[in-house]
Amino acid sequence: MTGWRNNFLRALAERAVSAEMGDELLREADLEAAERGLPPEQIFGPATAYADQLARALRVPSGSPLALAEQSSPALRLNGISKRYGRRQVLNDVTLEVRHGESVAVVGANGSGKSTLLKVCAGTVKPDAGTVERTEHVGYVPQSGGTAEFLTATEHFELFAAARQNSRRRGRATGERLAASLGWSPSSEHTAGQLSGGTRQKLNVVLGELSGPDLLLLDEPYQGFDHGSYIDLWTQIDRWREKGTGVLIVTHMLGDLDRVDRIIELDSPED
Amino acid sequence: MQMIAIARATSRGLVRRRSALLLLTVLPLAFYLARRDVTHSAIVVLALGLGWAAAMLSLFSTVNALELDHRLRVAGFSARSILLGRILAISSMGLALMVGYLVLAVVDQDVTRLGGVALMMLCALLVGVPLGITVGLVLKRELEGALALIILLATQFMTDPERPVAHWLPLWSVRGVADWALDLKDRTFLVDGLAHAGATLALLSLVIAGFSALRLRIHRYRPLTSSWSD
Repeated sequence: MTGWRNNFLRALAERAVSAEMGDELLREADLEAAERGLPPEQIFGPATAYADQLARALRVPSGSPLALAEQSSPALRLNGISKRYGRRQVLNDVTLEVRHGESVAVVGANGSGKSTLLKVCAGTVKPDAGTVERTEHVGYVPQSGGTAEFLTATEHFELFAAARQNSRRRGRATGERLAASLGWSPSSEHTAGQLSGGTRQKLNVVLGELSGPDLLLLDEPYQGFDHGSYIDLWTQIDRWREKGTGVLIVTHMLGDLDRVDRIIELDSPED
Repeated sequence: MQMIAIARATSRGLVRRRSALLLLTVLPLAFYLARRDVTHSAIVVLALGLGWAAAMLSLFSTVNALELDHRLRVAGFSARSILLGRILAISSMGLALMVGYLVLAVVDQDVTRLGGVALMMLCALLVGVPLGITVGLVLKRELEGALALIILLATQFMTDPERPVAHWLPLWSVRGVADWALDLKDRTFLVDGLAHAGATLALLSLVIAGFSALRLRIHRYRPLTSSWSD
């Protein structure tokens, strides 16, 4: 098998396309290449890029336009949150609300307290002032860490399933399905420490949503993602909204802010 | 269920760190071989080495998992399940190691009270595991934790067990039980050793409970009911 064909099949498998479907797509590509009398790379371009395009087209589309969540109840409500580390005021009187089925982006300069705000929402950091009201069932995707270096993706799914007393089998099945929606087919051989940065981040996202939380807290979840995975993530965020999950996402990618319902901008840090 | 899930994940993670496990296995063995020609010393340092290895394993497991533990707490795990699961996994591995070293002591040395030697090792293990977790929770960093354990346990090795200050060190129970098990002294020494192990374990449990409440805390929030209709 030529390098292009081999790369094509491998890239499809990595994007959770079944072997049968991969073979069929390769046959179609071969057929078209034969008809035109050209090598496939000249017709379709790089194998990985073409496979990525096809894999995304095969996944469930994001669907109909999203309904606004005006009538739904709040999943998170922050009132007057302030936080100071030593002399530095990180958060100053932040008030916000995220409703079920609504996505809200948090933007701001470096050091403006975006990650701290998410930690306050999750409950791992205590605010100096203000109140947090939230639904109990929360999925938290931290910017870094949050996975075990020496466990495989499947073992992570089994572990996180126990948080809500779900069986290991259910955890595995749910994790693999969610991974496929991000274009990733987890390997049972590689531990998290052996995964690329982008794939490890996909694991991070899947673990956040594994138990079907009512509120998802995402801290720049796309770090290390390629373009296709980045688009998949936004499609996934749309799906969560449709299901009624409230989504609070910290982001630097200002170009995609039209995809969220509301934007909260945090004040720049004090000098 | 949560505790078992943590124990399983911890064991899997530890088993994959083969070189680290090998080195921790060698640690008591190296101590033993250095004193092999003196039965009493050889078995005492073997047990102390086992406690040291268990403490190191617990320290690194605790510090490495702190970020993951926060996330597991948010996901719904209780702090108690996380800690007990980790203790269960490390203690099980320590027990397997202990059995191996017990066989070594019986085969290679002239041991009269086998049960006493087992008790020495059990004391080392039962104190070593929570000691490592305590240092991990208090200091939160690997290097600082490793240095603290070296200070504590090297002092334990160097201090004359007859001196009053030795009684304040965490693994003194091993030496107390050794007096009964190896030097065939009266039961008072055994009782003193076990009492020391029990008191140390109780103290470490209290510190673990306090610091885990601090380190693995989910801060209070007002609950909102989850309701959603299309």
